[in-house]
Amino acid sequence: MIASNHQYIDLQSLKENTFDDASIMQEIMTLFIELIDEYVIILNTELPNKNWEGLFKATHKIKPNISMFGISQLEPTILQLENNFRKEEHLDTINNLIEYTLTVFKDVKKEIITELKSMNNEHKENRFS
Amino acid sequence: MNIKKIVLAEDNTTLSLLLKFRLEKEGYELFMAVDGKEALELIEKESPDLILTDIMMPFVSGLEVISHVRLKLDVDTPIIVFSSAGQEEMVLKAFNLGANDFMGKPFSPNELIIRVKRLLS
Repeated sequence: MIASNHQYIDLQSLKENTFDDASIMQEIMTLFIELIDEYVIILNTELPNKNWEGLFKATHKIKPNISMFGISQLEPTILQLENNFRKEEHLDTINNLIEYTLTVFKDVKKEIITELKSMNNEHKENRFS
Repeated sequence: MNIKKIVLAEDNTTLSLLLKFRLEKEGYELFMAVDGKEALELIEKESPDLILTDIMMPFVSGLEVISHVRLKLDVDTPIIVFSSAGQEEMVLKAFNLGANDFMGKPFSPNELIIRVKRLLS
Protein backbone atom coordinates (compact mmCIF):
# COMPACT_ATOMS: atom_id res chain seq x y z
CA MET A 1 0.00 0.00 0.00
CA ILE A 2 1.48 3.33 -1.06
CA ALA A 3 1.19 6.03 1.57
CA SER A 4 -0.39 9.24 0.32
CA ASN A 5 0.59 11.49 3.21
CA HIS A 6 4.08 12.46 2.09
CA GLN A 7 5.06 16.08 1.97
CA TYR A 8 6.78 15.93 -1.41
CA ILE A 9 6.34 12.70 -3.33
CA ASP A 10 3.13 11.39 -4.83
CA LEU A 11 3.50 7.85 -6.14
CA GLN A 12 0.02 7.51 -7.62
CA SER A 13 1.15 8.01 -11.20
CA LEU A 14 4.10 5.62 -10.82
CA LYS A 15 1.76 3.08 -9.28
CA GLU A 16 -0.61 3.34 -12.24
CA ASN A 17 2.17 3.25 -14.82
CA THR A 18 3.67 0.10 -13.28
CA PHE A 19 0.27 -1.58 -12.82
CA ASP A 20 0.98 -1.59 -9.08
CA ASP A 21 3.84 -4.07 -9.57
CA ALA A 22 5.77 -3.78 -6.29
CA SER A 23 8.96 -5.30 -7.66
CA ILE A 24 9.39 -2.85 -10.56
CA MET A 25 8.32 0.06 -8.37
CA GLN A 26 11.00 -0.80 -5.81
CA GLU A 27 13.60 -1.07 -8.56
CA ILE A 28 12.64 2.32 -9.99
CA MET A 29 12.57 3.95 -6.54
CA THR A 30 16.01 2.52 -5.69
CA LEU A 31 17.41 3.82 -8.98
CA PHE A 32 15.93 7.25 -8.30
CA ILE A 33 17.76 7.44 -4.97
CA GLU A 34 20.99 6.75 -6.89
CA LEU A 35 20.11 9.47 -9.42
CA ILE A 36 19.47 11.97 -6.62
CA ASP A 37 22.86 11.15 -5.08
CA GLU A 38 24.58 11.59 -8.45
CA TYR A 39 22.79 14.90 -9.03
CA VAL A 40 23.68 16.26 -5.59
CA ILE A 41 27.35 15.39 -6.18
CA ILE A 42 27.30 17.21 -9.54
CA LEU A 43 25.64 20.29 -8.00
CA ASN A 44 28.22 20.39 -5.23
CA THR A 45 31.25 19.83 -7.44
CA GLU A 46 30.36 21.61 -10.67
CA LEU A 47 28.80 24.76 -9.23
CA PRO A 48 32.12 26.04 -7.82
CA ASN A 49 33.68 25.20 -11.22
CA LYS A 50 30.95 27.18 -12.99
CA ASN A 51 30.51 24.23 -15.33
CA TRP A 52 27.15 25.46 -16.62
CA GLU A 53 26.92 22.92 -19.41
CA GLY A 54 27.55 20.02 -17.03
CA LEU A 55 25.01 21.45 -14.59
CA PHE A 56 22.47 21.90 -17.39
CA LYS A 57 22.92 18.30 -18.59
CA ALA A 58 22.59 16.91 -15.06
CA THR A 59 19.45 18.97 -14.37
CA HIS A 60 17.97 17.98 -17.71
CA LYS A 61 18.67 14.31 -16.97
CA ILE A 62 16.90 14.26 -13.61
CA LYS A 63 13.93 16.36 -14.79
CA PRO A 64 11.66 13.45 -15.89
CA ASN A 65 11.82 12.06 -12.35
CA ILE A 66 10.15 15.13 -10.92
CA SER A 67 6.87 14.32 -12.65
CA MET A 68 7.39 10.56 -12.37
CA PHE A 69 7.49 10.87 -8.57
CA GLY A 70 4.91 13.66 -8.39
CA ILE A 71 7.28 16.15 -6.78
CA SER A 72 5.19 19.07 -7.98
CA GLN A 73 6.66 21.54 -5.48
CA LEU A 74 10.09 21.15 -7.07
CA GLU A 75 8.99 21.33 -10.70
CA PRO A 76 9.21 25.14 -11.23
CA THR A 77 12.60 25.26 -9.50
CA ILE A 78 14.09 22.49 -11.64
CA LEU A 79 12.75 24.10 -14.82
CA GLN A 80 14.18 27.44 -13.74
CA LEU A 81 17.57 25.91 -12.96
CA GLU A 82 17.63 24.03 -16.27
CA ASN A 83 16.86 27.25 -18.16
CA ASN A 84 19.36 29.34 -16.24
CA PHE A 85 22.14 26.79 -16.75
CA ARG A 86 21.30 26.34 -20.44
CA LYS A 87 21.14 30.04 -21.22
CA GLU A 88 23.81 30.94 -18.65
CA GLU A 89 21.61 33.73 -17.35
CA HIS A 90 20.36 34.91 -13.94
CA LEU A 91 23.25 32.99 -12.45
CA ASP A 92 23.25 35.34 -9.46
CA THR A 93 19.92 33.82 -8.35
CA ILE A 94 20.81 30.15 -8.62
CA ASN A 95 22.23 29.71 -5.12
CA ASN A 96 18.77 30.00 -3.55
CA LEU A 97 17.29 27.66 -6.14
CA ILE A 98 20.02 25.10 -5.53
CA GLU A 99 19.67 25.34 -1.78
CA TYR A 100 15.93 24.70 -2.08
CA THR A 101 16.52 21.80 -4.50
CA LEU A 102 19.03 20.17 -2.14
CA THR A 103 16.65 20.52 0.81
CA VAL A 104 13.73 19.02 -1.11
CA PHE A 105 15.78 16.15 -2.49
CA LYS A 106 17.04 15.33 1.01
CA ASP A 107 13.43 14.96 2.18
CA VAL A 108 12.37 13.18 -1.00
CA LYS A 109 15.07 10.57 -0.36
CA LYS A 110 13.78 10.07 3.18
CA GLU A 111 10.22 9.65 1.92
CA ILE A 112 11.25 7.13 -0.72
CA ILE A 113 13.32 5.14 1.78
CA THR A 114 10.33 5.09 4.15
CA GLU A 115 8.13 3.89 1.31
CA LEU A 116 10.63 1.19 0.32
CA LYS A 117 10.79 -0.06 3.92
CA SER A 118 7.02 -0.14 4.14
CA MET A 119 6.81 -2.08 0.85
CA ASN A 120 9.42 -4.57 2.10
CA ASN A 121 7.53 -5.10 5.35
CA GLU A 122 4.31 -5.60 3.46
CA HIS A 123 6.02 -8.14 1.20
CA LYS A 124 7.30 -10.06 4.27
CA GLU A 125 3.84 -10.00 5.89
CA ASN A 126 2.26 -11.32 2.69
CA ARG A 127 4.81 -14.14 2.50
CA PHE A 128 4.04 -15.34 6.01
CA SER A 129 0.29 -14.76 6.09
CA MET B 1 5.02 -15.18 -33.73
CA ASN B 2 7.52 -12.55 -34.84
CA ILE B 3 8.51 -10.50 -31.79
CA LYS B 4 9.28 -6.90 -32.74
CA LYS B 5 12.58 -5.52 -31.53
CA ILE B 6 12.94 -2.02 -30.09
CA VAL B 7 16.17 -0.19 -29.25
CA LEU B 8 15.59 2.34 -26.47
CA ALA B 9 18.30 4.98 -25.97
CA GLU B 10 17.73 7.02 -22.81
CA ASP B 11 20.23 8.09 -20.17
CA ASN B 12 17.69 8.43 -17.36
CA THR B 13 17.70 4.90 -15.96
CA THR B 14 14.38 5.16 -14.11
CA LEU B 15 12.54 6.36 -17.21
CA SER B 16 14.11 3.68 -19.40
CA LEU B 17 13.29 0.96 -16.86
CA LEU B 18 9.67 2.07 -16.69
CA LEU B 19 9.37 2.17 -20.49
CA LYS B 20 11.08 -1.22 -20.82
CA PHE B 21 8.62 -2.70 -18.32
CA ARG B 22 5.61 -1.28 -20.17
CA LEU B 23 6.80 -2.14 -23.68
CA GLU B 24 7.73 -5.69 -22.70
CA LYS B 25 4.21 -6.08 -21.29
CA GLU B 26 3.01 -5.24 -24.81
CA GLY B 27 5.10 -8.10 -26.19
CA TYR B 28 8.08 -6.19 -27.59
CA GLU B 29 11.72 -7.16 -27.12
CA LEU B 30 13.73 -4.27 -25.69
CA PHE B 31 17.42 -3.48 -26.11
CA MET B 32 18.62 -0.74 -23.80
CA ALA B 33 21.28 1.90 -24.38
CA VAL B 34 22.33 4.60 -21.91
CA ASP B 35 23.97 6.78 -24.57
CA GLY B 36 24.04 7.30 -28.31
CA LYS B 37 27.21 5.26 -28.78
CA GLU B 38 25.65 2.18 -27.21
CA ALA B 39 22.49 2.82 -29.20
CA LEU B 40 24.38 2.74 -32.51
CA GLU B 41 26.11 -0.51 -31.55
CA LEU B 42 22.76 -2.11 -30.66
CA ILE B 43 21.08 -0.81 -33.81
CA GLU B 44 23.81 -2.31 -36.01
CA LYS B 45 23.79 -5.60 -34.10
CA GLU B 46 20.05 -6.14 -33.62
CA SER B 47 18.50 -4.44 -36.66
CA PRO B 48 15.48 -3.34 -34.61
CA ASP B 49 11.97 -2.72 -35.94
CA LEU B 50 11.77 0.59 -34.06
CA ILE B 51 14.16 3.04 -32.41
CA LEU B 52 13.27 5.23 -29.44
CA THR B 53 15.89 7.82 -28.66
CA ASP B 54 16.30 10.79 -26.39
CA ILE B 55 17.74 13.84 -28.13
CA MET B 56 20.21 14.78 -25.44
CA MET B 57 22.53 11.94 -24.44
CA PRO B 58 26.20 11.58 -23.54
CA PHE B 59 28.87 10.94 -26.21
CA VAL B 60 26.59 10.65 -29.25
CA SER B 61 23.35 12.65 -29.36
CA GLY B 62 19.96 11.47 -30.55
CA LEU B 63 20.37 13.64 -33.65
CA GLU B 64 23.61 11.85 -34.51
CA VAL B 65 21.87 8.51 -33.98
CA ILE B 66 19.14 9.49 -36.48
CA SER B 67 21.70 10.78 -38.93
CA HIS B 68 23.73 7.56 -38.71
CA VAL B 69 20.65 5.37 -39.20
CA ARG B 70 19.34 7.31 -42.19
CA LEU B 71 22.57 8.29 -43.93
CA LYS B 72 25.19 5.68 -43.02
CA LEU B 73 23.06 2.58 -42.50
CA ASP B 74 20.52 3.84 -45.04
CA VAL B 75 17.56 2.11 -43.36
CA ASP B 76 14.02 3.42 -42.83
CA THR B 77 13.46 1.94 -39.37
CA PRO B 78 10.84 4.13 -37.65
CA ILE B 79 12.34 6.49 -35.07
CA ILE B 80 10.58 8.28 -32.22
CA VAL B 81 12.59 10.99 -30.46
CA PHE B 82 12.12 12.17 -26.90
CA SER B 83 12.50 15.89 -26.35
CA SER B 84 11.93 18.47 -23.65
CA ALA B 85 10.60 21.98 -23.51
CA GLY B 86 13.15 24.31 -25.07
CA GLN B 87 14.31 21.70 -27.60
CA GLU B 88 11.87 22.63 -30.35
CA GLU B 89 14.69 23.51 -32.73
CA MET B 90 16.29 20.11 -32.18
CA VAL B 91 12.95 18.39 -32.81
CA LEU B 92 12.78 20.15 -36.19
CA LYS B 93 16.33 19.00 -36.92
CA ALA B 94 15.33 15.46 -35.90
CA PHE B 95 12.42 15.53 -38.38
CA ASN B 96 14.67 16.91 -41.09
CA LEU B 97 17.11 14.08 -40.46
CA GLY B 98 14.32 11.52 -40.80
CA ALA B 99 12.67 11.00 -37.40
CA ASN B 100 9.07 9.79 -37.69
CA ASP B 101 7.55 11.09 -34.47
CA PHE B 102 8.41 12.80 -31.21
CA MET B 103 7.30 12.73 -27.59
CA GLY B 104 7.76 15.75 -25.33
CA LYS B 105 8.95 14.86 -21.84
CA PRO B 106 7.35 14.28 -19.45
CA PHE B 107 5.02 11.93 -21.32
CA SER B 108 2.65 9.17 -20.42
CA PRO B 109 3.87 5.62 -21.17
CA ASN B 110 0.32 4.92 -22.40
CA GLU B 111 0.70 7.55 -25.09
CA LEU B 112 4.08 6.22 -26.14
CA ILE B 113 2.62 2.72 -26.49
CA ILE B 114 -0.11 4.04 -28.79
CA ARG B 115 2.49 5.70 -31.00
CA VAL B 116 4.73 2.62 -31.01
CA LYS B 117 1.81 0.41 -32.02
CA ARG B 118 0.87 2.81 -34.79
CA LEU B 119 4.37 2.79 -36.24
CA LEU B 120 4.77 -0.97 -35.94
CA SER B 121 1.34 -1.96 -37.24
